[in-house]
Amino acid sequence: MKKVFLGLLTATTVLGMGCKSGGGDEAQKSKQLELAEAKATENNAKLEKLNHDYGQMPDARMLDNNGEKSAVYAELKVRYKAELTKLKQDVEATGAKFVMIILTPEVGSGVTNISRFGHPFIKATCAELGIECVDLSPEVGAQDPKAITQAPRDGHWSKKGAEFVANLIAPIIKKNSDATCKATYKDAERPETFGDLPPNDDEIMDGGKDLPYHVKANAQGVRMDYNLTFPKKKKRILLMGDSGIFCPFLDNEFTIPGVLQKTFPDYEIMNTGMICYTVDDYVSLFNEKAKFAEPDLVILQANGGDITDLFFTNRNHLGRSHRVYVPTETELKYYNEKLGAGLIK
Amino acid sequence: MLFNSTAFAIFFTVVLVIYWLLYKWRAYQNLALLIASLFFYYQFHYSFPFYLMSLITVGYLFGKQIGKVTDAKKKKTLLIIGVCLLSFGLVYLKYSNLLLSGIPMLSAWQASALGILVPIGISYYTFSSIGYITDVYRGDIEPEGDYVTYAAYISFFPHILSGPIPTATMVLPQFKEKSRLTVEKIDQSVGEIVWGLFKKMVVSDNIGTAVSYCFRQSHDLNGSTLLLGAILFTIQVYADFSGYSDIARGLAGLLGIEIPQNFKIPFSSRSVTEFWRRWHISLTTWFYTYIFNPLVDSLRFLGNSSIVIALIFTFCLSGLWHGADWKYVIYGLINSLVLVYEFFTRKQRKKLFKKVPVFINNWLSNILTMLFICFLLIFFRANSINDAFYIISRVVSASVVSAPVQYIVKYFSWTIPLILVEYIQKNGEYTWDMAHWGIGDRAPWNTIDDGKKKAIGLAIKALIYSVIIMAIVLYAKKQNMAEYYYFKF
Repeated sequence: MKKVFLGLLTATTVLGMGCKSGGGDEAQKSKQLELAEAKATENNAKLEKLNHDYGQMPDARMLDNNGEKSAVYAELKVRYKAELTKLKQDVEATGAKFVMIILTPEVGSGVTNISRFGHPFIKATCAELGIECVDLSPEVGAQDPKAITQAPRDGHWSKKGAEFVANLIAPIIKKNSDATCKATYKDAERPETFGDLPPNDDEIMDGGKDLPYHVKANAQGVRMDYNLTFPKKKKRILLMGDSGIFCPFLDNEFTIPGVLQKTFPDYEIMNTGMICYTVDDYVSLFNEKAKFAEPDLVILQANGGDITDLFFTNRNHLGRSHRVYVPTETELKYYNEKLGAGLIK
Repeated sequence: MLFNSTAFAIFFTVVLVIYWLLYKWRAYQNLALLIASLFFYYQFHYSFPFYLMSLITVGYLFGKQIGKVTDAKKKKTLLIIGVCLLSFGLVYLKYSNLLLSGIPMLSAWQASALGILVPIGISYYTFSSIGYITDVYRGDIEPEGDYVTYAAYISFFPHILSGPIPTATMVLPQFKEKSRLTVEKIDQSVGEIVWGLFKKMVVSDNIGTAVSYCFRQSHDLNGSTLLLGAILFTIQVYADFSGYSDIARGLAGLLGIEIPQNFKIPFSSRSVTEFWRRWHISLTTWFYTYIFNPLVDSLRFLGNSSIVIALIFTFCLSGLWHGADWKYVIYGLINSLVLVYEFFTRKQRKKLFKKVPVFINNWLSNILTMLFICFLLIFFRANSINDAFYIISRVVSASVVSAPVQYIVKYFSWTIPLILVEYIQKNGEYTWDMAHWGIGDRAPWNTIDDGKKKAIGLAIKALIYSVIIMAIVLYAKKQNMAEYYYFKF
C-alpha cells in the first residue's frame, strides 16, 4: 500500500514537473492529476492480477547448463541491453561519468550459471554501448569465501570482503576524479529523498540469520551518515547496485561505500544499493531521485542476476517502479515448463 | 509447534475440548493428555517421543521397585542405579563434547560429528523423573501404580520443553484427582497466557535484535553500549523465559493442573541470595532439594565449610546444566562465591545497613544486585569465555563513561511496559494478578454487592487486555524456534 502510494506520488510529481509552470491552468492540472491517478490504479490492478496468476521464479533455478542458449534468456538479454542503454543516456545527460563494475560475492566453486553466462554478456554490452566496465569478479573469485563473505551463514560480504572490494573500486574513483555533473536543479525540483531507504532510518536489522547490523540513512533516504547539501562543496559519487553494494549484515562504516568514504574524505559517497534491484530499478531510481543529488560519477554494480531478474514474474513482484511486465509468449512457455517441473509453486 | 503459533492454538483448542468432554473419567483424561503430549513432542522430531517414553518407563519401574523394597540398603542401591540410568541419556547426549574435550586423545571425537540429536527439553523431564524416584525413596510420595498417569505427568506438554520443572509431591497428585475448573482459574490462566505472550513476543523478541547486535559487534562498541547490551540481555532472557513459563502455567491451569511458579519479580531482589529465590524457582528448588541439602547433610561434620562446598558444587553443576561449555561453569562458580560471601557477611551487612535509611538501603542493594546479575549474565550470552572476558574488560574500562550509541538506547522503550507492570504487581500472588491492582471482580475493594464498582473494574480489565492483545498483534516479531532462549537447555 505504501509502495503504491509512493508510486502514485512519484508519478504525479514527475507529471507535475513536466508541466510548464507558466500555464497556470488549475483545471488542466487537476485533470492531469486525475488521469495520472486513474492510470496508476489501472496499472496496480493489472500488476495485482499478474502477480496473482504468476508466482515468482526462484532466481537460482532460472538457468540450467544449457540455459545460455534458451530463447527466454535471449529475450532477457535484449531487455537488459535496452534498459542499460537508457540508463547510460540518462546518466550522461547530466554530464556525470557512468562506470560499471561487475561484482558478485560468488567465489570459487560457488560461481553460478547466472554469473558464468551473464558476465561476458554484460562486458560485451558495455563495450558495444561505450560504457567503461571493470570486471572485479576474477579478483574476488580468487579469495577465500570464509574470509570475504559471511559464510556459512550468508553469502554477502564480510567486513574483510567489503574492504577488499572497496580497495578494488578506489582506483576507478581516482581515475575518474575529473568527472563533473553539469546538471543543476532548483530546490523546488528536488524530491524529498535521493535513495529508497526511509529517511533518517536508524535501526538494527537481523535478516533472520542472527547477523544483526546497524542501518542508518540520512534525511534523504541514502545509507550514509550525513545529509547532502546544495550547492555541492565536494565531488559526489553515486554507488548503485543490489545487495552487493547495500552490504547487509554490515554497519554503515564497514560497507563498501562506508570504507570508500573513509578512503576518500574529500568526496561524498552515496550508497543507494538495495537488495534485489536490477537495471530497470536503477533507471527509475536515477531518474526519480538520485540524479537530483547531482552526482559527478555514477558507479553501477552489475552481475548476472540483473539479467535473470528481468523475467516478467520477478519484475512484477519486485520492481520498484511498479511497471507492468506483460509476459511474452517465450516467457509464458518457459514459465509453464518450469511450473510443470515443479520449480514454481 | 510453538506456543505462539496458529498450529498450537488449534492443537490446544482440540485438546482442551476433548479433555473436558472426558471430565468424568480421570483415567481417560490422562490417556488423552499423554497422546496429546507425545503428538506435540513428535512435531519437533519423530525420535523424541521414543526417547521420552523409554525415560518414563525407567522412572516408572524404578519408582515402583523403590516403593516395594523395604531394605534400606537395597532401596538406596536401587535409587543410585535409577538416577544413573535416568541421567545417562542426558550426560551422553548433552555433555559428550565437553567430557571428550578434556581428554586430548579423544577431543577430535565430537558428539556433533556423530550426528547426535539432543531432544528438546531433555534436562527438564530428566530432572522431573529423578525428582520423582528420589521422592519415592524418601517416602515423600507413594510410588505411582498407574503407568498412564505417571507418563501423563512427566510428558505433560505445557512444561515438557522449558519447564517449570514440576515436583512430584505437588503436581502428580493432581493427575489423580477429579479435574476442576473455576471461573477464577480461567481468569488467572488466560491472564497468564496473554501476559506471557506479550513478554515473549513483544518485549523479548524485539529487544533480542539489539542484544544480538551488542554481543556480535562487541569489538566495535564502547563500554557503556556493551553495559546497556548486558542489561538488555538480562531483561530479554527474563521476558523470554518467564513469558514461556507464564504461558505454560496458564495452559496447564486451563487443564485444571497447577504447575509451580518459576519467577517472582526477580528484579526487585536486594541480594543475590534473594535473586535465586525469585529466578527460575523450579530449577533452584530442584537443586536445593536434591543436591544442596543432601550434600550439606552428608558433610555436616565439616561445619560451615559444608555449606561452602555444597554451594560451590551445586552452582557449578547448575551452570553446567545450562550447557556443555566451561563458560557456564564459570558462571556457576562466580554465583556460588558471591552466595558464600553473602552467607558469611550477612550479620555484618545487617549491622552496616542499619546505619543507612531503609529506602536508600533497599534501592542501593537492588541496583547493585541487578548490576551484578547483568555482569554475570555476560558469561551466559557471550559466544565464548574469551568474548565474555573481552566484554567485561570493556564494561569496566574508561569507555563506560562515554555516551552509548543512540540506536541501542531506544530499545529500552520496549522494556518500559514490562518493568512498570511487574513493579506494580511485585507483591501479587502470581505473575499476572490484576486483582492485586484493584481491578476486576476479585479485587479486594470490589464487594459483590456493589455492582457499579464491579462493572467499572471489569471494564478497566477488558481495556487492559485489549491494549495488550493489540500490542501483541501490532508489535510481535516473527521468530523461529531457535530463538526461544531456554529450549536449548
